[in-house]
Amino acid sequence: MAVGDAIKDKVLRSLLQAALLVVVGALAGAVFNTVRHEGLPWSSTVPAPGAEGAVPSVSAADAWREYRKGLVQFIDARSAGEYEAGHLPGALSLPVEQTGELADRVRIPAGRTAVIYCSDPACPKSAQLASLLSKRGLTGLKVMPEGWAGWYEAGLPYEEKGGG
Amino acid sequence: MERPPGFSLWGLLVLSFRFVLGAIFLYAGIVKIADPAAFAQAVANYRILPLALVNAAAIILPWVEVLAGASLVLGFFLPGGSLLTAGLLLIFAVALGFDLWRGIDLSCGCFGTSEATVTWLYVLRDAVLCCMACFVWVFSGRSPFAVGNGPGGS
Repeated sequence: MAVGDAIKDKVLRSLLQAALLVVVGALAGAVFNTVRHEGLPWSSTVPAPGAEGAVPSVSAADAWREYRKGLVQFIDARSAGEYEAGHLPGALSLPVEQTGELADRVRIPAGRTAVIYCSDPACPKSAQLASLLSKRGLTGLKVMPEGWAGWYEAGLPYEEKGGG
Repeated sequence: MERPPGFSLWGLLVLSFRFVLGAIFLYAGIVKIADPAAFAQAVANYRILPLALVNAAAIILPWVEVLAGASLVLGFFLPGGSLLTAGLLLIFAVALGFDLWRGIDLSCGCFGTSEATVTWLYVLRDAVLCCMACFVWVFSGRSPFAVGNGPGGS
């Protein structure tokens, strides 16, 4: 009985303290975010795929048609591992997690539209990369929402690392 | 309940777990506070939280981590701090495991932006740390395991 009470007491005390730590943490985070130089807005700045004001999108079929005319440079926003397992023809690998210096070296061949994609329609990486690259001054960007999954399912050609 | 044998060694173990966990959480929190935009992106990539809540999580979570870490290192609110640490680690492990299971390619974001792709080892790491935090919680403050030997214990 005494042991049971002690445990109950400890659990309650722990929960109370943990809740207090969370509340203080939330307040500290909110205050610091308000006073700091580059605080985050409370609502997300990453445009949802297909959202209003986001980079224009292009379908896989249209992108393929444009690619065959030499008007498209694909950019793969997924990880290096996914890129190596299979990517769109001639795609540049630009994993959104490590765009820091890579993004500065991106050169889109003149006359081509950069078409950015990630894994599937729900993946946020292509929209993230698009907003990141457009902040760095790149223009003529498009996002292909169907992504790798849509491309693969449509039976369009792709490349593998080493496989050609 | 018997007192664990070699109580001072036990205490030393709790203390070392506290410092290890506390240091990890302090570091993880501070790195994220330094670059909130990168952390928000990492949170969004988990595709678990609705987009509307991503930035709020990115603003608040690092500070909660710092407080939990401070609690462990300094020893204030130790029962709450260790419980919070265990709870956070459990949430991290479940989120990572869920995304691995769904086949979402993900970088952890555990310590700011890391380039490595998440594997099940990350889940194991969180699980081990979670067990350490539970251990600290059990032996934090007035251990209920000592009550049986203590005088009274009403």
